[in-house]
Amino acid sequence: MTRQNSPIPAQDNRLTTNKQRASRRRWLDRLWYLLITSAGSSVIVALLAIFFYLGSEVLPLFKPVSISTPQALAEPLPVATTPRVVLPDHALLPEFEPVFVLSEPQQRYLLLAARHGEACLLDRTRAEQGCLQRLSLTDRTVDLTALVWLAGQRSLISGDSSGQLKQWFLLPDQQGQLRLSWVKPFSRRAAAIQTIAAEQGRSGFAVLDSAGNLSLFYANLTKPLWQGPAAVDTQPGELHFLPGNQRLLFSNASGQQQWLIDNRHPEISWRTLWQQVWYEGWQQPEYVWQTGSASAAVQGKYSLVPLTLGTLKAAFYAMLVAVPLAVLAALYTCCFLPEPLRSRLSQLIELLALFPTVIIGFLAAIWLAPALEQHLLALLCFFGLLPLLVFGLSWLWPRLPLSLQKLPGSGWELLLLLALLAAVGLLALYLGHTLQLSLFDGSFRFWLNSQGIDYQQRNALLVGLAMGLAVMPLVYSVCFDVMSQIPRSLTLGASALGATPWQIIQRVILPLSVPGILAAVMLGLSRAIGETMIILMATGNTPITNFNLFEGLRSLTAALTIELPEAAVDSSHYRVLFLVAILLFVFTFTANTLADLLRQRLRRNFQRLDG
Amino acid sequence: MTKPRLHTNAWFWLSALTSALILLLVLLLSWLMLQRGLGLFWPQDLVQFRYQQAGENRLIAGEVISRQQVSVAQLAAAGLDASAPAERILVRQGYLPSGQGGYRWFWQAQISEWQQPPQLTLVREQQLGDLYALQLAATADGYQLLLADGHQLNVAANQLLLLLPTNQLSWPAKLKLYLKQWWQFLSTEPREANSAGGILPAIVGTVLSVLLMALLVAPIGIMAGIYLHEYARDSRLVRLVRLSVHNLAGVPSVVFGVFGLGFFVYVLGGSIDKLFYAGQLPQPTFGSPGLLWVSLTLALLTLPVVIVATEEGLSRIPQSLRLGGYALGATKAEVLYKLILPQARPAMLTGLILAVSRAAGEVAPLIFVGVVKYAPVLPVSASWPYLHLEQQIMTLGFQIYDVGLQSSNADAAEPRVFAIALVLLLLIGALNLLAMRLRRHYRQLQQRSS
Repeated sequence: MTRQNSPIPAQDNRLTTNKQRASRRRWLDRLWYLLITSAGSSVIVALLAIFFYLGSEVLPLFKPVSISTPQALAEPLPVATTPRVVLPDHALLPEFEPVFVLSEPQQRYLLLAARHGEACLLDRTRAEQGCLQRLSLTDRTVDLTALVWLAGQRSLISGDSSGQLKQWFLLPDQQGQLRLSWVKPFSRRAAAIQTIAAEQGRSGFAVLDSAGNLSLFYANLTKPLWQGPAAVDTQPGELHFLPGNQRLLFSNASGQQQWLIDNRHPEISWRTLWQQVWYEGWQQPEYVWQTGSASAAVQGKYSLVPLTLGTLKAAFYAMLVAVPLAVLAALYTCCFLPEPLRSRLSQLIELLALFPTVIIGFLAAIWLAPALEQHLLALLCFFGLLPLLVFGLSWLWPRLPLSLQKLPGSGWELLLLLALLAAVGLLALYLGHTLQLSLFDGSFRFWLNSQGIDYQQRNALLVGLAMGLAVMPLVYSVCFDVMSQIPRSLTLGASALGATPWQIIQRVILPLSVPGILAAVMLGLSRAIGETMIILMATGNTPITNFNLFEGLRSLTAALTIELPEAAVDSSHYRVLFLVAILLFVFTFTANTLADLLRQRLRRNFQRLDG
Repeated sequence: MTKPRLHTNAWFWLSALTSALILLLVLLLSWLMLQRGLGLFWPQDLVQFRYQQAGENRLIAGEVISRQQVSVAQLAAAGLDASAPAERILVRQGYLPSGQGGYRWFWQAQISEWQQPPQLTLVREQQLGDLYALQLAATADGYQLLLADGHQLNVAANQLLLLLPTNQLSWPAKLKLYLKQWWQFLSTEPREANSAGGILPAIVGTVLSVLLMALLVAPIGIMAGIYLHEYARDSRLVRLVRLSVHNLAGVPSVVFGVFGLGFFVYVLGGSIDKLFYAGQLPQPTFGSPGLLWVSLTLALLTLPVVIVATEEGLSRIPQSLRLGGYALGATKAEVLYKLILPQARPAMLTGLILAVSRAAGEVAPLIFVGVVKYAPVLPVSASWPYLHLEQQIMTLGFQIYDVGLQSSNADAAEPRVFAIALVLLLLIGALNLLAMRLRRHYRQLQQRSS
């Protein structure tokens, strides 16, 4: 009404509102853009930052040791000196002039060492019998200048005037007799060793030589962690670590000096993580993963080799189960099944991927493990009968009357095979049972054990079967995808040229889908390596280094799950576990990326082939 | 000519048999889950028998749990007389004052006077758990029971949870009881160190953590997806980022758990404590594992799934729709939220549901960030602040792991775990069914519009 009365102002009004609305729309558009862009990119940055955060937790492990310049102390600090060991009656050892006298923690045995390095291990309770063991700690031409216990008092470090450093273990031999045995030399110092100080509570030590050089060692490594000029006056003195091992004290007649040391994780290096290490109290160098010991005197043993081997072992057996199952099933469903059945079956198999792995792990541990233990022979029989069944069918089927051969392709075939398989399974159970009773005294497992094959109830075979089942749907779906993407023009062309269905598979479908199958295997492998709950539940979680099918294992993921909640924050253990996480991350990420790239390339190839 | 030739090929039969084998395994697995999971609460016949072995002569009453054949070698290994294989049965005897109750194996050969008397009654008492009473006499304030070991026991009526002469029950009565027991299982708190009672806290914990996760992941994931697909330019960097986001979905979940513990709990939680709960330090509030961190970790874990689903949904929408919008003068934002997003919504919802179903079955990463075997209180309450984000929770998946493998009373725990697993499986199955429905519905809509 008003518009009709005065059209001109109204028009103006509308113009301004239009302009306002346009600017508001532009403003909204920009706001929306900013919102989405900032939110989206920050999410992506945050996701990628996971890797960097994990890295930042691990980095301190590999940080080189740093030592401050020495500072003179105005007020002398009291230094805890080791109590003097009371020597037994000297007359017992007439020709011996001990310079160093050390006692082991139980105070029963004494180690006496003379100036030229002759040493004598003495049983205090039977001192009259003389030395239990006599040996030379040096090569007799040089003088022994230092001899100290490492923390825990199970191994010794000796230093001599030629700059040689050696480690010795006090170990019981086969008769239970305690013996001092030579373990390894450390890298030689340039001048005579003046004094050695052991760290408190862990197996490191500091060495000062007569040329005025200071070096820091850790017992597991032969090379020094740090070496450099000590810048102290040349008067002889003693080195001491203060509690916490963050301060090293040098005291001599003219006063005291201290260094501040940043050396938090000396026990971790690439060498100790991946190579054999001779730990205190062990008979030979080995790969050991053993953490969380209550006593500080026992070294933490962080070799990643048993865990990595465990992971690879589980993944290997799982792939051994999953890949043949998945590839063959994909081939069959993709190439031989008619349509409604084809998508049904593939959906059903993919449905298997929905099973939470914790349920599969539980079934494996509670239901499958005892069943497998009892029916191991039946499983072997089943695999023995399978080829018979296959060859029997391929011989028998073409000889059947044609009316019966009409069945295949309509889904009856699958049902028939299902019934056949079930029958063969029952037959295998029966066979296994009878064989077990007649040949193996009623239990194959006990027979295996008596043959020296250690059969544990929760073993790699179990993990292989369970994890194989869990990984299979993934491998299957990728294989199925690739095979059904193959351009129809190729298969139709081959068929037109007179190829049989099997020839088409052999010459066209399989060669074309090999990269896809490879991608599927890689995806499956990365899934198997990252799998946690099944391994955690279906193995004994013992960190061992072998590929025995009937023994357990401990994987990287299981170690993480079990140990991380208990590891002290920022300890070496905690950081090593983060390193484990990074390893898992990097490996699976790389494998997935490679698989993805392969699939993308394959898709492009198919598009090109399709024209 | 081609068909017969195919059927002489051993590889063809091998592949067909493999498919049948997988089918068989699926069937076996489903049957196992259903049979064990559903069988738990069906009232079993109660039995009573006399057991005579090595000077022991006792009357036993209870339920038969399982039967087992023991081979000669196993007998020998156990240090028993082994001339022939023997059969043994596992019997649940319930509580007995003599301390000989609980689960026990009995050799079949030593059993006599096997019977199923109608007056044998299953009694569930608040403190003692299950009892099997030979005879029952009503007293002033409850019942007097005669137990199999000859002891008399008085039970107050208000302590009584269940009184059940199972052998007298008819089929419909058993069914009613069965359903009631299931309901109790789903709706009550656990008793006796998770080996009896219900799983309500675990259900609540699972649902709550997953819902919270969905709330967190939905806006973030969808925005990141929109950004990647609509706003980011198609440079090499963006392609690299897209590839890595997709592949984050394949990174083991336990790695996300490690990140959750290190970053969320210790760094983020520690700082929150320092800023807002300084008064309570050193007692941590958010600086220790809890519900919030569980949900955040799950959100991180499922973020790639949601991003990928969003992108996929957006890429299915025809370019013509966008161009049409622009031609009519709409801004990019208007095209997005008026044209594109409504069309892509089902795809995003599907992605979200799949993410939820994946999160519901996740266990390993949650062990670090706040899931425990027993949480005394629920994370929801009737008083402010209603939702306790800092509290530790129980989840179904962790219950399966913990009750199944770490329980001290394995015989009692094992059948329960099958039931828990069935509940979890049904939950996940329902979610996936929903996602499938949505996707089909969406496809039909698209086909109709194109």
